[in-house]
Amino acid sequence: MENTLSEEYKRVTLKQLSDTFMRSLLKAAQARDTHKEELAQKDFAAATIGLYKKTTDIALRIVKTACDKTELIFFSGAQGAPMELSAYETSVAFTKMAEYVAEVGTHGSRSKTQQLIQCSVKDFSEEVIKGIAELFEGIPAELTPEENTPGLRGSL
Amino acid sequence: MDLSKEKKELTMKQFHEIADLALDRVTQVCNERTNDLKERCHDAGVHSAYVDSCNDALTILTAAHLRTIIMLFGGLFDQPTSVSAFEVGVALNKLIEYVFETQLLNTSTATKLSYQRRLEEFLPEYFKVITEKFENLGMDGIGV
Repeated sequence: MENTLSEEYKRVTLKQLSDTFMRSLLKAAQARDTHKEELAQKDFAAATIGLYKKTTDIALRIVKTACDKTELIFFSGAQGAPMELSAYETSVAFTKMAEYVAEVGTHGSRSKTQQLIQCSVKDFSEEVIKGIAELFEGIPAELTPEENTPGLRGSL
Repeated sequence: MDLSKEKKELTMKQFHEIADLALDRVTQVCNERTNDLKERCHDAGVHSAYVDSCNDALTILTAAHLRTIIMLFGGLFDQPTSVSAFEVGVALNKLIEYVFETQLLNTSTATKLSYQRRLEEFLPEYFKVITEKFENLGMDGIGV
């Protein structure tokens, strides 16, 4: 994955991350609804709109589950305490979770359906990654340069 | 990786035990191979480089292993969850990728490659244990 996100570590709470995910998911769902209306206005067949709705519903659920799992792997057992995370690390974790949920959640589906779901997952994920970048940009740097040393970190 | 997609219901505690056995097996294989290399190859540098890459690969695997357990069971210790060996495989691989991409950012490509080779060498052992243990589970998880 090409890294365009900051690797700077900042202290983030579960609530901040959770709210960011919620906002991003809401934006993704709104964009989906707008696009669905556009398809209807352009006289797309009901079956096409139905397929779009079905696959994007699944994709939204996948992205929501990936958000929940990302919160879980970072904050398990540390509900109140802030964690040291970077925008880059958070987005990689979220992307890997989305890949995992999409892979196990769509196996057995027709390959065309899988492709459609994966495309929507990618679109919605971009919204989440944008949200992660904005969250970290808005948090002031508290860590000293020493604490921000990249490379092998605590939990590894 | 050809892992069974059959779901079995088990608790985090039960899965923890299975996954730890898999990690123990990898550690055991790792030790066997480093000892074997020590006997066959008298170049201390080669042996020491192999041991280092084994240890680092094990650290990466352990980090991904712990996150996999949390991710699959959500920290709910006693609440049974349906899991398949396939899910465990995909989750572990994704988390290994995550550890690689985030924790080894400034590591040289050569070092990363050596970790990767060790992981490729040892992961089949990990999944062999998971598969065996999952096969012995009943649908309700009894018999761990």
